[in-house]
Amino acid sequence: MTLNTNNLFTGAIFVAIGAFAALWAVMDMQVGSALRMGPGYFPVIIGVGLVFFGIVVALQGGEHTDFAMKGLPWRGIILISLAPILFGATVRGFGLVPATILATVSAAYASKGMTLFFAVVLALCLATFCTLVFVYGLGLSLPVVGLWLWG
Amino acid sequence: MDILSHIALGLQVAGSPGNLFYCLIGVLLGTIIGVLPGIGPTATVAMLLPITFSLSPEAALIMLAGIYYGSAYGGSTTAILINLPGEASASVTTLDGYQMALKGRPGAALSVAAVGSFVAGCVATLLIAMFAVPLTRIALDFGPAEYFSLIILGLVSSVTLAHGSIAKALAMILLGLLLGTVGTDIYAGVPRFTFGFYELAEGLSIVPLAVGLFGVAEILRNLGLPMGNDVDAIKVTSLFPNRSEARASVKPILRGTVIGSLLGVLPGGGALLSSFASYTIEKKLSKHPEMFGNGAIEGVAGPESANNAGAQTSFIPMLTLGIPSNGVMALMIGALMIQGIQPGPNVVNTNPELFWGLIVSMWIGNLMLVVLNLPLVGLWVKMLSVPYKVLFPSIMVFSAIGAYTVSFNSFDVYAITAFGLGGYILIRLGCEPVPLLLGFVLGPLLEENLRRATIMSQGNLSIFVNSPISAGLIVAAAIMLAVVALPYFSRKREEVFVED
Repeated sequence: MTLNTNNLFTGAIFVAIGAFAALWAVMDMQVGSALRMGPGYFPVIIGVGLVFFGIVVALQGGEHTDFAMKGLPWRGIILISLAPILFGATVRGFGLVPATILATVSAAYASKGMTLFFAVVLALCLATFCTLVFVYGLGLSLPVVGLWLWG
Repeated sequence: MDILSHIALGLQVAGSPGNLFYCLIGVLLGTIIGVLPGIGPTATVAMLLPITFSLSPEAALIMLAGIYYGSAYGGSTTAILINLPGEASASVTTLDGYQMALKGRPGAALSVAAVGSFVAGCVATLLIAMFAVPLTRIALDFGPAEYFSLIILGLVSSVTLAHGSIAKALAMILLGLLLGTVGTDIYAGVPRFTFGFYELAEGLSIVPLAVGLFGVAEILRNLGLPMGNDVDAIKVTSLFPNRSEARASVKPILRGTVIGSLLGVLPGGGALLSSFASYTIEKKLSKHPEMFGNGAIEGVAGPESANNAGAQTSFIPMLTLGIPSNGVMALMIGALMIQGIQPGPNVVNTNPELFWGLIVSMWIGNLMLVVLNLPLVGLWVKMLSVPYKVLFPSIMVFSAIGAYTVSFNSFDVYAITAFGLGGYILIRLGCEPVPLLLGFVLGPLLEENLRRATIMSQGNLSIFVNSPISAGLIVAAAIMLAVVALPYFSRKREEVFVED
């Protein structure tokens, strides 16, 4: 049997999460017994189970393939990840329109060959659409333009 | 008979103008996302879940259900016309549907697919109406031990019927169960895994979890792939199949309906497995198996009927037992809970208008899909010219708005990024996201029943094997796992899921 880098890595992730959860549950919560299960009982079982299956996954053999974590599309990952963070940070203070524009531009630049013109037009269209649908159509109480911008 | 009055009640609910409108919106949206590759029903339902807060429970579920079965219709259109399955469940249809299109019969393939889906949808709806009530009666007698074992069986079978590594899928279930424990413990009232964030006191929200796993992770995966936008759709001239095509389709449609209805009920079954199984069976039964892959109409009629029947009957375990069989059904459970309805066998008694309204709406929705889809096929194909660089920023924005409106909390929006990144890494490593979502939804229920059962039995864990029903369910789960672990079966299982 030959070990496979991807399965080793996957298994390690599960073992780490499971071990952390089980230890945290033991230290932070009352575990109790089968008769009187405490808040920690179930998480400990799950954590131990995750460690077990993590080991099973890690020991799975398999044909050698390229390591899956190689050649990640970093530009896309960073810009896409940034979009919800920008939205979440600004929607309350700046309002729906600015938050939508920021998130759209960030996400749009994840595709190669994006032009500023295209990104801005797309952002304005989406901001208009979302305002009409979510604020005026569905009546969600989102500020269109937030307090921070009113001064 | 009882069933007639139930259906009359359903007609009354589903036929009200408001609910007809939401049904139409649902099937339209479903068709659109079915046509568009890169966004599936799970992500769409997750994004729209918060919007359903403001709707009545009936309207909410009718619309979300429409998205789910509508996407199966849309997926087959692109499978036939451009050899690109809009949804995974339509991937079998590309084999013969596209070949038929190349041979000048695209209209026949489309209409056979639509009619087959409609027949299947009608039969499956009727089946749900007939079997839902008896099933709920059985489940009403379940105590916590039986319920615990039922959930275990549901989780285990969702793994054995899914594709990919079983150990990974089981680990994903456990990860989902773990995420489900975050929040305040219901018995002791103490926080678990909240790490000091008050936003976590009520647990992780299902919306950012599902949007991250099925929306964002999919976008990240697609960004790593070359994306071509040149679409060469085959022109559709006549929609009518000729006499021999029509005759050849009848039996595959009926067989597909039966296969799909049966497999749809199983957790993890649903539309995808149904269409693969139907294709395999039609090929085995055919007098001219060499035609399969070269434009055999049976290879379109069977799987298309099967996937629609499977999509419909997968509502049975969700509606009657509160056990979701796939990602969309897990979100439906979430939608019910948002509406303050406790999913499970009681829904049919406490909310009959919801239960029967939803069932009848599926039949109406199927009718709408046939009427809408065939004449408008050109319009749907045009949807494909929407470039991906427009589509994915839009998905990101809708996801963010959706997550934010769950509780008007930015924490839920940041969670999209966390789950999107985590999901992307795990998917890249060959782990399926669906078991995680099922574990997350069922986790609290599993734990509650475990604790209630052990309190009842005074800490004696043998309660799970002493009750005959519970023991039977546990044994069934164990057999399923054992069978899949056998080398012979695991090889067969891989064959079934080889997609091309």
